Amino acid sequence: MFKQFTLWCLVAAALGSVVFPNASAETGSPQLKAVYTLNFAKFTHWPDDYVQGDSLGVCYTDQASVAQGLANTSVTQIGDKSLRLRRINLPGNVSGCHVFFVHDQDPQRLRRYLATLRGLPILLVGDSQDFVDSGGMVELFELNRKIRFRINLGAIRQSGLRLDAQLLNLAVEVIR
Amino acid sequence: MSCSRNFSLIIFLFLYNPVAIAAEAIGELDILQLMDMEISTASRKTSPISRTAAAAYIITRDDIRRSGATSIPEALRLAPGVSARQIGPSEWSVSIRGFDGRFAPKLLVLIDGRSVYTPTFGGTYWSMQDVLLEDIERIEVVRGPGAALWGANAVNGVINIITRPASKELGSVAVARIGSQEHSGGLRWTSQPGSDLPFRGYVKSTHGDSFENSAGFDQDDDFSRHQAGFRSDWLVGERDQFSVHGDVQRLDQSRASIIPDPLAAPDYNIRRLNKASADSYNLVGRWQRSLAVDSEFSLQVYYDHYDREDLVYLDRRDTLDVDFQHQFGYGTQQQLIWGFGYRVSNDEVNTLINIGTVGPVRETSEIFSAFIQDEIEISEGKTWLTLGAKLEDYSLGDPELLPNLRLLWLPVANTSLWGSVARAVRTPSQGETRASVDLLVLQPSTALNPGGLPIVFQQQGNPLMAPEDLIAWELGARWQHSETLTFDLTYFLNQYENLRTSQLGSLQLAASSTHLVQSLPIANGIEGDVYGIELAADWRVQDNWRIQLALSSLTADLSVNPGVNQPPGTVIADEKNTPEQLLSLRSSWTPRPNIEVDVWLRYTAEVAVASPVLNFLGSNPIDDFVSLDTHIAWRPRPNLELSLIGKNLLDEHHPEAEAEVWSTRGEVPRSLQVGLKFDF
Repeated sequence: MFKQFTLWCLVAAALGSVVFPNASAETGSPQLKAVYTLNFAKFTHWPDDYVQGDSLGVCYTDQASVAQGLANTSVTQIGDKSLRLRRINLPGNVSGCHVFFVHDQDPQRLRRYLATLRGLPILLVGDSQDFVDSGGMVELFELNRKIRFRINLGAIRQSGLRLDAQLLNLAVEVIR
Repeated sequence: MSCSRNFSLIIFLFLYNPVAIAAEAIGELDILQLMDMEISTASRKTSPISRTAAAAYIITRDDIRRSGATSIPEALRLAPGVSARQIGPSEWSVSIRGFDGRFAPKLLVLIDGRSVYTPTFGGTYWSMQDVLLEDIERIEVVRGPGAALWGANAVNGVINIITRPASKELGSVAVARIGSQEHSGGLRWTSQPGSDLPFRGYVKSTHGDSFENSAGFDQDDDFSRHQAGFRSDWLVGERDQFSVHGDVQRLDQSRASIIPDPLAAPDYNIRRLNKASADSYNLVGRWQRSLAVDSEFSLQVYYDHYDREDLVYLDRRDTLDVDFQHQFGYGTQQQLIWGFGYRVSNDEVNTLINIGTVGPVRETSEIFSAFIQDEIEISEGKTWLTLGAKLEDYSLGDPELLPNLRLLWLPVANTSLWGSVARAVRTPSQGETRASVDLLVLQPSTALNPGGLPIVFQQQGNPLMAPEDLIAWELGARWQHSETLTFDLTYFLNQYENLRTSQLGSLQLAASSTHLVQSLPIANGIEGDVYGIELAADWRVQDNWRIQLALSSLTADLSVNPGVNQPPGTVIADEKNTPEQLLSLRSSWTPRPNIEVDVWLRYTAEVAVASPVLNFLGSNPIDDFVSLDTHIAWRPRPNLELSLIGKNLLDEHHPEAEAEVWSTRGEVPRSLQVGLKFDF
């Protein structure tokens, strides 16, 4: 029996030793959304006492579509701050997060999480349907094979953040 | 172990491959350039390497759909290390890390937070477990003990079947499948999208035709199962989420049983049609409240009822379970979960023919439990230590403390290493503590029984039976070679004590003087180790082609305690009643966006002892077998799917497993099924 098993092991090894093509030439939507998320940070101003030190924290939940894109990003610097990526399981500690890509498979649970994040100076980005209506700040969506976004300005102001006018101008929709 | 060397070879080979980090130029793009970029490929839904410090595997709804599985046990074969062998059209032997059987007692199964483990025999009535497969969100399969969270009987694994919240439903659906072996129909209807009170209801009916034995005789084990249920989830304010769901079911099944009867000369063991029927229902309510971003609690209450009756015995049970848990952050590095639970279960068990006694017919048992778990982030994003323990107090036994320590380390972003040590127990089933049942009659004037009277082998329950005890050691590694290729490898060592065995008891003349009774009292008489490895690999060859490999191998090295007197010639069944190697190789190809072609090849090693009870009379081994399943689906319109499912295509029929007692062996046939799914 072990002989047979050895055989499988070798088959598996043979499969693995093929050199796989890199996917880097492709820009699937998770990768694009990850880059968007990092870019939003450039247009966001946090209360002075919230940004501490030289680093800027970009956090994401495990289930987020961008998780893979963020985890593998080559970006290390946003403006003059160094990028600190953190994966978060909610409920969980979000200290040190400046941008947070929030996703949950259950839309109602997502609403609950967003309610607990309200008022914190963290830019909440997401790509769930009705994300900004559920209390999120920037919602990414796909339109004609391109990524677009809408902004919930009311939620942003409530949290003490400021967004550059340039970003507001690029949004498909700004909810006040 | 020789195979761990092979696995080191695999890992060695892989280390030569460059780790693909998507160092993409797009990372440097500014927002205006970004807005111009087109999404070039279908999105790959991969997520970063798992941070779970356990041998956990998630079966997704897509996996289930593409596998062609039409029942829960079939879907479980998608996870590495799960042995799911079919006994009959509705009966399965499902287990993890050994100890297979129709009632595999060391595996805890939950459906949406409700335990379906029955303490009557210890195990799961698989024929009674069903959901509309289209409603499943995912199945979490945890190999290894989960006792520190889930309590007793989560010894070798925990299976958590999770359906979608009603708020997630996309719409109504009708499903029909017609086949050579099984037919089913299901209907789900949902509330309007965006409703404040999302609701779904479903009905499902399944009918399975009989198997045949190797000689082509009908096994008379067809079944019909009708089930209906509902689920609703709603928010009150923004922080309180309520869920209510329930199901009702009627099952009619039969099988051919060999019933021992010492008065039925000359055969004594009579083949009889064993018809069974079961009615069951359950209702679950859950309240979850978010207190802060790092804090929430949940309160769950469920009521579960089943009433199963066959030729031999009836088993009625009512269970009420209350479970509270609270999670909160403590400082910036610690996340605590604590909770408590209460379960009361009332059952009525009785034999319906003259085949033994079951002790007290009615019994009420209670479990009080409390647990705490602390996850400590020792170094940010790198190392986590989890300490947990559950304390359970049983009305029918002594309290147990079930601790667990887990450590997770991410040395680099694409690799995680973890280790765990845990204690778990399996509490004795009521069948083991109080029932005395006749297993077989040995005919008189034969080589084994030269005397003039038939001998009845009678298994005798032991009211003093202690829980089976496990200390489990695990080491695991997950490695993401690239965005398209991941590996998950686990080594486990399970050290058992107090495993169940049957002793050779007294041989006495029955009161009626018509036969002799050889008693076989149950005892805690076996100890030893079970160890093995499990490997899962997931390779997205191209955007439209995925290959998944799962391999597992285990070795059981058990011994009988000194002073335990097994019948002469008995082998330790727990060493040999499980296929030691399992292989699953699955290809999922999407040649066109509306066409799916799936091929699934499985190998299951032989089972040396398929009849664990009385194996000194013969062990009836089951040969190893290879199965091939296929699933082809075509969506001519976005809301219409036609599918063709083929199962066990490589041979006309083969045996996979057999029930422990009174059984006849059926063979799993090749089968075809056409399916139609309509979304509306």
